[in-house]
Amino acid sequence: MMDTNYIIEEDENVLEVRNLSKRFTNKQVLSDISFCVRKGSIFALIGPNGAGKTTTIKCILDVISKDSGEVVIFGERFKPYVKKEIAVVSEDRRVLRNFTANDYEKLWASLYKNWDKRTFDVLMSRYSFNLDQKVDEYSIGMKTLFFVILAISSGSSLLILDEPTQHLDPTIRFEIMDLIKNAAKEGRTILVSSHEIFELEEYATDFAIIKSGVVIYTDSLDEAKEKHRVIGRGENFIAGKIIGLLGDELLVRLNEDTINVGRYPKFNDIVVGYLNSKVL
Amino acid sequence: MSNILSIIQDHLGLFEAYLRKQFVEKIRTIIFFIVLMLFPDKNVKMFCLFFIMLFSIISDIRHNRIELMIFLPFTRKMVYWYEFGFMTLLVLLTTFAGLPFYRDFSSALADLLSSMIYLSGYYGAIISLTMLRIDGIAAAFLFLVIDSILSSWDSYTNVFRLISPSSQGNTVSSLIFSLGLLLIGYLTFEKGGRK
Repeated sequence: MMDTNYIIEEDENVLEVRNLSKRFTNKQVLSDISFCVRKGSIFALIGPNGAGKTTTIKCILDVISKDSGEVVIFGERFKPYVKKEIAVVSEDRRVLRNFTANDYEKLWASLYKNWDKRTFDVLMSRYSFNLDQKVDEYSIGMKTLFFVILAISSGSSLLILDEPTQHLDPTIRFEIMDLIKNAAKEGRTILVSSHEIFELEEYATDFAIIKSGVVIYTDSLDEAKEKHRVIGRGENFIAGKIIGLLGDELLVRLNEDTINVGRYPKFNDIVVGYLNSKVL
Repeated sequence: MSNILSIIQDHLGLFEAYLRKQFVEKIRTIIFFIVLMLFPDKNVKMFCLFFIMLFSIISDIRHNRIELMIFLPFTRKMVYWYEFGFMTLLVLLTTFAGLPFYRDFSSALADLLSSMIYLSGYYGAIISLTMLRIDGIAAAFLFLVIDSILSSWDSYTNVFRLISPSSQGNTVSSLIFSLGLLLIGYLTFEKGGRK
């Protein structure tokens, strides 16, 4: 019952969210959200503030109850004990009172059976953390870095990072992106929620765009670029679907038989195009 | 059988982690109240338990800190029962460590039972009120005032006095009532807190 030795094949989904809905009193926060996260991928949940990213994460982890829908983790419907294989960095970076880095290490080591002390020591020493200092006294950037280090050292198969680079200076952003990429190279699966679309192109492999509680598009980065084009003013466009405006240009989704037109979009073109689209 | 053992082992590990978290976060408060609770008197123990609840889980609920544990491999169910287990442990520890101060063993056991009835009833009632969106501190004092007023009327027709978690006019009735409150507290904390 409590066995957490999950074996997931390379092409299997570590996480599947199916038709997830959530309402807070009079506001529909999530509406029929569905997406899949492949093993070893860095999946970005993208959307503006208030789009429902954090609520989605809380529903996945059963922190709050969902109204309808299903969450499948490691091939089975969510059960509390799967959390032993999931490490989370929450958005608000709140810390346990009076906890030093040492206290956190002891707590996490007792909670995660695959805790990797060596990785923790190496990373803590690389970034010159004082293990005896209270974590609450760290700057916001150091707190984020510290929690990402904890998540990576936990040995968990699935890392869920809510806005891991928000409010950080470029140096720490780069370090965190590097840690995320290395964790994925080791075979971990990472779900990142973010609205930092420019940096996501650096490390995300798959994504879902959430707008007003609805997933308006989900795909892998490469596939999405292959399927879309940016058409400039005066360019001919024969068949396909207009997604949204990008300043003077248009993001279009090509039909399968459409001949190559326009230019390949950057990742941020796709995100902005969909966020600007009128279709929900 | 091995399945059950593995579940128990798992819970013991998580409970130990929960205790570690409590001791690191609240060591001064815990030591202060442990010393007070060594005093061989059930009223002192009840007084201390009331304030331990305020400084511990009620404070965590008020400051939205329960989520910190739920993001780790804990569930709301675990947090509720582990917190109750933590306070039970304090009652047991101080009662048995304070045995030399008691007249006899039976009076220590009577105090232990009274403290546990009080803890169950107040813990369940305060958590339930908190889940109704009443501020934790206000909920605690509200229940204290209601309990005190209703049980102060000293008459054999006062049923509440018999079941009150603090007055405990009838031990069995108050035990049953307190266990009922403890269960209601669990249900509201588990369901209501996740909304």
